[in-house]
Amino acid sequence: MRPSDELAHFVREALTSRRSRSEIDDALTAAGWSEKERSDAIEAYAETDFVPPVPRPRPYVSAKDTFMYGLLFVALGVSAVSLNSLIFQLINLWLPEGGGAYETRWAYDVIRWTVSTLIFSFPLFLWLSHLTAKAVGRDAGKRRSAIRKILTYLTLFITALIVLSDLVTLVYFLLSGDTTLRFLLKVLSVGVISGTIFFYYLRDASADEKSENR
Amino acid sequence: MKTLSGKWILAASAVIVVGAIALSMVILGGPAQWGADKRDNDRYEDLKDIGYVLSCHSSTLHKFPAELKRSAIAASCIARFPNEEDLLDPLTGEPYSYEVVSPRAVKFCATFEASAERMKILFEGRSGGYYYGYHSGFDLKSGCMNLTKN
Repeated sequence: MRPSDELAHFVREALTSRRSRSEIDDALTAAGWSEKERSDAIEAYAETDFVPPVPRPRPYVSAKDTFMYGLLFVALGVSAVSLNSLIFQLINLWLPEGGGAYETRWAYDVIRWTVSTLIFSFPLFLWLSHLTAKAVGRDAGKRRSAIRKILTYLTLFITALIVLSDLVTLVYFLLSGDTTLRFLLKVLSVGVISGTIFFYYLRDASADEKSENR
Repeated sequence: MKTLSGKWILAASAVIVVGAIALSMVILGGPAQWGADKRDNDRYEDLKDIGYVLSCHSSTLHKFPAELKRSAIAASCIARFPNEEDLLDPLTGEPYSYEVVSPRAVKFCATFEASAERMKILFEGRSGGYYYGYHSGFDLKSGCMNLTKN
Protein backbone atom coordinates (compact mmCIF):
# COMPACT_ATOMS: atom_id res chain seq x y z
CA MET A 1 0.00 0.00 0.00
CA ARG A 2 1.38 3.44 -0.99
CA PRO A 3 1.66 6.14 1.74
CA SER A 4 -1.17 8.15 0.11
CA ASP A 5 -3.39 5.03 0.10
CA GLU A 6 -2.57 4.41 3.75
CA LEU A 7 -3.42 8.03 4.57
CA ALA A 8 -6.77 7.82 2.73
CA HIS A 9 -7.53 4.53 4.47
CA PHE A 10 -6.69 6.04 7.87
CA VAL A 11 -8.91 9.10 7.33
CA ARG A 12 -11.79 6.93 6.18
CA GLU A 13 -11.47 4.64 9.22
CA ALA A 14 -11.21 7.62 11.56
CA LEU A 15 -14.33 9.28 10.12
CA THR A 16 -16.18 5.95 10.34
CA SER A 17 -15.18 5.84 14.02
CA ARG A 18 -16.84 9.28 14.44
CA ARG A 19 -13.56 11.11 15.09
CA SER A 20 -13.83 14.85 14.42
CA ARG A 21 -11.90 16.42 11.56
CA SER A 22 -9.73 18.45 13.95
CA GLU A 23 -8.84 15.29 15.90
CA ILE A 24 -7.83 13.56 12.68
CA ASP A 25 -5.84 16.60 11.61
CA ASP A 26 -3.99 16.70 14.96
CA ALA A 27 -3.17 13.00 14.74
CA LEU A 28 -1.82 13.38 11.22
CA THR A 29 0.19 16.47 12.20
CA ALA A 30 1.77 14.55 15.04
CA ALA A 31 2.63 11.76 12.60
CA GLY A 32 4.47 14.25 10.35
CA TRP A 33 2.07 14.61 7.38
CA SER A 34 2.30 18.00 5.65
CA GLU A 35 -0.58 20.48 5.73
CA LYS A 36 -1.38 19.87 2.04
CA GLU A 37 -1.37 16.10 2.48
CA ARG A 38 -3.62 16.37 5.55
CA SER A 39 -6.14 18.73 4.00
CA ASP A 40 -6.27 16.77 0.72
CA ALA A 41 -6.91 13.54 2.60
CA ILE A 42 -9.58 15.02 4.92
CA GLU A 43 -11.26 17.10 2.18
CA ALA A 44 -11.59 13.96 0.08
CA TYR A 45 -14.72 13.24 2.18
CA ALA A 46 -17.83 15.44 2.34
CA GLU A 47 -18.57 17.24 5.60
CA THR A 48 -21.56 15.21 6.72
CA ASP A 49 -22.40 12.96 9.64
CA PHE A 50 -23.36 10.18 7.32
CA VAL A 51 -21.51 6.91 7.92
CA PRO A 52 -19.68 5.46 6.08
CA PRO A 53 -17.94 8.72 5.02
CA VAL A 54 -19.15 10.10 1.69
CA PRO A 55 -16.30 10.62 -0.80
CA ARG A 56 -16.20 13.85 -2.76
CA PRO A 57 -16.01 13.58 -6.57
CA ARG A 58 -12.44 13.16 -7.83
CA PRO A 59 -10.82 13.82 -11.19
CA TYR A 60 -10.88 10.80 -13.48
CA VAL A 61 -9.04 9.64 -16.60
CA SER A 62 -10.75 7.90 -19.51
CA ALA A 63 -9.44 6.68 -22.85
CA LYS A 64 -12.34 8.32 -24.71
CA ASP A 65 -11.66 11.72 -23.11
CA THR A 66 -7.95 11.39 -23.86
CA PHE A 67 -8.81 10.77 -27.52
CA MET A 68 -11.40 13.58 -27.75
CA TYR A 69 -9.49 16.28 -25.86
CA GLY A 70 -6.15 15.25 -27.37
CA LEU A 71 -7.57 15.58 -30.87
CA LEU A 72 -9.29 18.85 -29.93
CA PHE A 73 -6.00 20.23 -28.59
CA VAL A 74 -4.11 19.29 -31.76
CA ALA A 75 -6.90 20.63 -34.03
CA LEU A 76 -6.86 23.91 -32.10
CA GLY A 77 -3.07 24.23 -32.30
CA VAL A 78 -2.89 23.38 -35.99
CA SER A 79 -5.80 25.74 -36.80
CA ALA A 80 -4.27 28.61 -34.82
CA VAL A 81 -0.81 28.23 -36.39
CA SER A 82 -2.28 27.83 -39.89
CA LEU A 83 -4.59 30.83 -39.54
CA ASN A 84 -1.74 32.96 -38.27
CA SER A 85 0.59 31.87 -41.09
CA LEU A 86 -2.17 32.54 -43.62
CA ILE A 87 -2.78 36.05 -42.23
CA PHE A 88 1.00 36.72 -42.25
CA GLN A 89 1.17 35.84 -45.96
CA LEU A 90 -1.91 37.92 -46.79
CA ILE A 91 -0.22 40.85 -45.02
CA ASN A 92 3.02 40.16 -46.98
CA LEU A 93 1.11 40.26 -50.26
CA TRP A 94 -0.75 43.40 -49.26
CA LEU A 95 2.34 45.21 -47.98
CA PRO A 96 5.34 43.76 -49.88
CA GLU A 97 8.79 44.63 -48.58
CA GLY A 98 11.03 44.28 -51.63
CA GLY A 99 11.14 40.49 -51.72
CA GLY A 100 9.88 40.59 -55.32
CA ALA A 101 8.51 37.56 -57.14
CA TYR A 102 10.31 35.16 -54.82
CA GLU A 103 8.35 36.50 -51.83
CA THR A 104 5.09 36.29 -53.79
CA ARG A 105 5.77 32.69 -54.86
CA TRP A 106 6.63 31.78 -51.26
CA ALA A 107 3.43 33.49 -50.05
CA TYR A 108 1.34 31.57 -52.61
CA ASP A 109 2.90 28.30 -51.51
CA VAL A 110 2.30 28.95 -47.82
CA ILE A 111 -1.27 30.08 -48.59
CA ARG A 112 -1.94 26.78 -50.42
CA TRP A 113 -0.66 24.76 -47.45
CA THR A 114 -2.42 26.76 -44.77
CA VAL A 115 -5.75 26.82 -46.62
CA SER A 116 -5.50 23.05 -47.17
CA THR A 117 -4.81 22.55 -43.47
CA LEU A 118 -7.47 24.97 -42.22
CA ILE A 119 -10.20 23.42 -44.39
CA PHE A 120 -9.90 20.25 -42.29
CA SER A 121 -8.47 21.31 -38.93
CA PHE A 122 -10.83 24.18 -38.15
CA PRO A 123 -14.14 22.34 -38.78
CA LEU A 124 -12.68 19.43 -36.77
CA PHE A 125 -11.94 21.82 -33.90
CA LEU A 126 -15.47 23.30 -34.06
CA TRP A 127 -17.08 19.87 -34.17
CA LEU A 128 -15.03 18.48 -31.25
CA SER A 129 -15.67 21.67 -29.24
CA HIS A 130 -19.39 21.20 -29.85
CA LEU A 131 -19.27 17.51 -28.83
CA THR A 132 -17.28 18.11 -25.64
CA ALA A 133 -19.43 21.14 -24.65
CA LYS A 134 -22.56 19.04 -25.21
CA ALA A 135 -21.13 16.20 -23.11
CA VAL A 136 -20.30 18.62 -20.26
CA GLY A 137 -23.76 20.20 -20.55
CA ARG A 138 -25.42 16.80 -20.19
CA ASP A 139 -23.19 15.64 -17.33
CA ALA A 140 -21.37 18.22 -15.20
CA GLY A 141 -19.18 15.37 -13.86
CA LYS A 142 -17.36 15.47 -17.21
CA ARG A 143 -15.75 18.69 -16.01
CA ARG A 144 -13.66 16.55 -13.67
CA SER A 145 -11.92 14.83 -16.56
CA ALA A 146 -8.21 15.02 -15.70
CA ILE A 147 -7.14 15.19 -19.35
CA ARG A 148 -9.61 18.05 -19.96
CA LYS A 149 -8.09 19.95 -17.06
CA ILE A 150 -4.48 19.25 -18.07
CA LEU A 151 -5.00 20.27 -21.70
CA THR A 152 -7.03 23.35 -20.73
CA TYR A 153 -4.21 24.59 -18.49
CA LEU A 154 -1.57 23.58 -21.04
CA THR A 155 -3.43 25.69 -23.63
CA LEU A 156 -3.58 28.60 -21.18
CA PHE A 157 0.13 28.21 -20.46
CA ILE A 158 1.17 28.14 -24.12
CA THR A 159 -1.09 31.03 -25.18
CA ALA A 160 -0.02 33.12 -22.19
CA LEU A 161 3.64 32.64 -23.21
CA ILE A 162 2.82 33.59 -26.81
CA VAL A 163 0.94 36.74 -25.76
CA LEU A 164 3.84 37.75 -23.48
CA SER A 165 6.43 37.10 -26.21
CA ASP A 166 4.28 39.07 -28.63
CA LEU A 167 4.20 42.04 -26.26
CA VAL A 168 7.93 41.82 -25.59
CA THR A 169 8.60 41.77 -29.36
CA LEU A 170 6.32 44.77 -29.84
CA VAL A 171 8.03 46.83 -27.13
CA TYR A 172 11.51 45.82 -28.35
CA PHE A 173 10.82 46.95 -31.90
CA LEU A 174 9.08 50.11 -30.70
CA LEU A 175 12.17 50.96 -28.66
CA SER A 176 14.36 50.19 -31.70
CA GLY A 177 12.24 52.53 -33.79
CA ASP A 178 11.88 49.69 -36.28
CA THR A 179 8.13 49.41 -36.67
CA THR A 180 6.20 49.24 -39.91
CA LEU A 181 2.49 48.77 -40.53
CA ARG A 182 3.31 45.28 -41.79
CA PHE A 183 5.08 44.43 -38.51
CA LEU A 184 2.32 45.93 -36.34
CA LEU A 185 -0.37 43.97 -38.20
CA LYS A 186 1.56 40.74 -37.64
CA VAL A 187 1.96 41.47 -33.94
CA LEU A 188 -1.76 42.21 -33.81
CA SER A 189 -2.57 38.93 -35.58
CA VAL A 190 -0.53 36.87 -33.09
CA GLY A 191 -1.99 38.80 -30.15
CA VAL A 192 -5.61 38.49 -31.25
CA ILE A 193 -5.42 34.78 -32.08
CA SER A 194 -3.55 33.70 -28.94
CA GLY A 195 -5.47 36.18 -26.75
CA THR A 196 -8.81 34.87 -27.99
CA ILE A 197 -7.79 31.28 -27.31
CA PHE A 198 -6.52 32.27 -23.85
CA PHE A 199 -9.76 34.07 -23.00
CA TYR A 200 -11.92 31.25 -24.35
CA TYR A 201 -10.16 28.56 -22.28
CA LEU A 202 -9.88 30.78 -19.21
CA ARG A 203 -13.69 30.90 -19.20
CA ASP A 204 -13.75 27.11 -19.37
CA ALA A 205 -11.23 26.76 -16.54
CA SER A 206 -13.19 29.21 -14.34
CA ALA A 207 -16.44 27.37 -15.02
CA ASP A 208 -14.77 24.07 -14.11
CA GLU A 209 -13.43 25.52 -10.85
CA LYS A 210 -16.82 26.98 -9.91
CA SER A 211 -18.44 23.65 -10.60
CA GLU A 212 -15.87 21.88 -8.37
CA ASN A 213 -16.33 24.32 -5.47
CA ARG A 214 -20.10 23.93 -5.45
CA MET B 1 -24.53 34.11 -20.70
CA LYS B 2 -21.20 32.24 -20.42
CA THR B 3 -22.22 29.67 -23.02
CA LEU B 4 -23.52 32.40 -25.29
CA SER B 5 -20.25 34.33 -25.22
CA GLY B 6 -18.31 31.09 -25.87
CA LYS B 7 -20.50 30.44 -28.89
CA TRP B 8 -19.93 34.01 -30.08
CA ILE B 9 -16.17 33.57 -29.86
CA LEU B 10 -16.38 30.39 -31.95
CA ALA B 11 -18.76 32.04 -34.44
CA ALA B 12 -16.47 35.09 -34.81
CA SER B 13 -13.45 32.78 -35.29
CA ALA B 14 -15.36 30.86 -37.97
CA VAL B 15 -16.16 34.12 -39.80
CA ILE B 16 -12.46 35.12 -39.72
CA VAL B 17 -11.29 31.70 -40.94
CA VAL B 18 -13.88 31.57 -43.74
CA GLY B 19 -13.04 35.17 -44.73
CA ALA B 20 -9.29 34.43 -44.83
CA ILE B 21 -9.86 31.29 -46.92
CA ALA B 22 -12.20 33.16 -49.32
CA LEU B 23 -9.64 35.95 -49.75
CA SER B 24 -6.92 33.36 -50.39
CA MET B 25 -9.07 31.72 -53.07
CA VAL B 26 -9.51 35.09 -54.79
CA ILE B 27 -5.72 35.65 -54.71
CA LEU B 28 -4.84 32.14 -55.89
CA GLY B 29 -7.54 32.21 -58.59
CA GLY B 30 -9.99 29.42 -59.38
CA PRO B 31 -9.33 25.78 -60.37
CA ALA B 32 -8.69 26.86 -64.00
CA GLN B 33 -5.91 29.18 -62.78
CA TRP B 34 -4.39 26.43 -60.60
CA GLY B 35 -4.33 24.06 -63.58
CA ALA B 36 -2.75 26.71 -65.81
CA ASP B 37 -0.10 27.49 -63.17
CA LYS B 38 0.74 23.79 -62.86
CA ARG B 39 1.07 23.36 -66.64
CA ASP B 40 3.21 26.52 -66.90
CA ASN B 41 5.47 25.19 -64.16
CA ASP B 42 5.75 21.89 -66.06
CA ARG B 43 6.65 23.81 -69.25
CA TYR B 44 9.34 25.73 -67.37
CA GLU B 45 10.80 22.53 -65.93
CA ASP B 46 10.68 20.96 -69.41
CA LEU B 47 12.68 23.90 -70.80
CA LYS B 48 15.25 23.47 -68.04
CA ASP B 49 15.54 19.75 -68.83
CA ILE B 50 15.90 20.53 -72.52
CA GLY B 51 18.68 22.98 -71.60
CA TYR B 52 20.48 20.16 -69.79
CA VAL B 53 20.10 17.77 -72.71
CA LEU B 54 21.26 20.35 -75.27
CA SER B 55 24.32 21.33 -73.24
CA CYS B 56 25.16 17.65 -72.84
CA HIS B 57 24.79 17.07 -76.61
CA SER B 58 26.86 20.13 -77.42
CA SER B 59 29.62 19.08 -75.01
CA THR B 60 29.67 15.55 -76.51
CA LEU B 61 29.47 16.38 -80.25
CA HIS B 62 30.77 19.99 -80.12
CA LYS B 63 27.66 21.38 -81.83
CA PHE B 64 23.99 21.86 -81.07
CA PRO B 65 21.49 19.45 -82.71
CA ALA B 66 19.74 20.69 -85.86
CA GLU B 67 16.30 19.92 -84.47
CA LEU B 68 14.71 19.18 -81.12
CA LYS B 69 13.88 15.49 -81.53
CA ARG B 70 15.05 12.46 -79.59
CA SER B 71 16.54 10.97 -82.73
CA ALA B 72 18.66 14.11 -83.25
CA ILE B 73 20.19 14.08 -79.78
CA ALA B 74 23.26 12.12 -78.66
CA ALA B 75 22.14 8.80 -77.13
CA SER B 76 24.23 9.36 -74.00
CA CYS B 77 22.32 12.61 -73.32
CA ILE B 78 18.72 11.61 -73.98
CA ALA B 79 18.09 9.45 -70.87
CA ARG B 80 16.15 12.33 -69.27
CA PHE B 81 13.58 12.13 -72.09
CA PRO B 82 12.59 8.45 -72.45
CA ASN B 83 9.58 9.34 -74.69
CA GLU B 84 9.05 11.73 -77.58
CA GLU B 85 6.04 13.17 -75.67
CA ASP B 86 8.47 14.57 -73.09
CA LEU B 87 9.45 17.13 -75.70
CA LEU B 88 5.83 18.21 -76.28
CA ASP B 89 3.68 20.87 -74.62
CA PRO B 90 1.61 19.23 -71.81
CA LEU B 91 -1.66 20.87 -72.97
CA THR B 92 -1.51 21.23 -76.76
CA GLY B 93 0.81 18.32 -77.57
CA GLU B 94 2.74 20.65 -79.89
CA PRO B 95 6.56 20.40 -79.87
CA TYR B 96 8.44 23.18 -78.08
CA SER B 97 9.90 25.57 -80.62
CA TYR B 98 13.65 25.37 -81.17
CA GLU B 99 16.07 27.56 -83.03
CA VAL B 100 19.83 27.41 -83.48
CA VAL B 101 20.69 31.09 -83.15
CA SER B 102 24.44 30.66 -83.75
CA PRO B 103 26.99 27.84 -83.48
CA ARG B 104 27.33 28.80 -79.80
CA ALA B 105 23.70 29.60 -78.92
CA VAL B 106 20.23 28.08 -79.12
CA LYS B 107 16.80 29.30 -78.16
CA PHE B 108 13.87 27.04 -77.26
CA CYS B 109 10.45 28.30 -76.28
CA ALA B 110 7.11 27.28 -74.81
CA THR B 111 3.76 29.01 -75.12
CA PHE B 112 2.76 29.87 -71.57
CA GLU B 113 -0.85 30.40 -70.47
CA ALA B 114 -0.03 32.97 -67.76
CA SER B 115 -0.48 36.71 -68.28
CA ALA B 116 2.61 38.92 -68.25
CA GLU B 117 1.96 39.83 -64.62
CA ARG B 118 1.44 36.20 -63.65
CA MET B 119 4.62 35.22 -65.55
CA LYS B 120 6.57 37.59 -63.30
CA ILE B 121 5.10 36.02 -60.17
CA LEU B 122 5.72 32.48 -61.38
CA PHE B 123 9.17 32.76 -62.91
CA GLU B 124 10.97 36.03 -62.15
CA GLY B 125 14.28 35.36 -60.45
CA ARG B 126 14.09 31.61 -60.98
CA SER B 127 17.19 29.86 -62.21
CA GLY B 128 17.24 28.79 -65.85
CA GLY B 129 19.36 25.82 -64.83
CA TYR B 130 23.10 25.49 -64.31
CA TYR B 131 25.11 23.60 -66.93
CA TYR B 132 28.89 23.53 -66.76
CA GLY B 133 30.43 25.62 -69.55
CA TYR B 134 27.09 27.16 -70.57
CA HIS B 135 24.95 30.10 -69.60
CA SER B 136 21.19 29.82 -69.66
CA GLY B 137 18.56 32.46 -69.07
CA PHE B 138 14.79 32.54 -69.23
CA ASP B 139 13.05 35.44 -70.97
CA LEU B 140 9.76 36.20 -69.22
CA LYS B 141 8.28 38.12 -72.15
CA SER B 142 8.89 35.57 -74.91
CA GLY B 143 8.74 32.41 -72.77
CA CYS B 144 12.08 31.34 -74.28
CA MET B 145 15.14 29.81 -72.69
CA ASN B 146 18.41 31.03 -74.18
CA LEU B 147 21.38 28.68 -73.91
CA THR B 148 24.82 29.98 -74.81
CA LYS B 149 28.17 28.21 -74.77
CA ASN B 150 30.71 30.17 -72.71
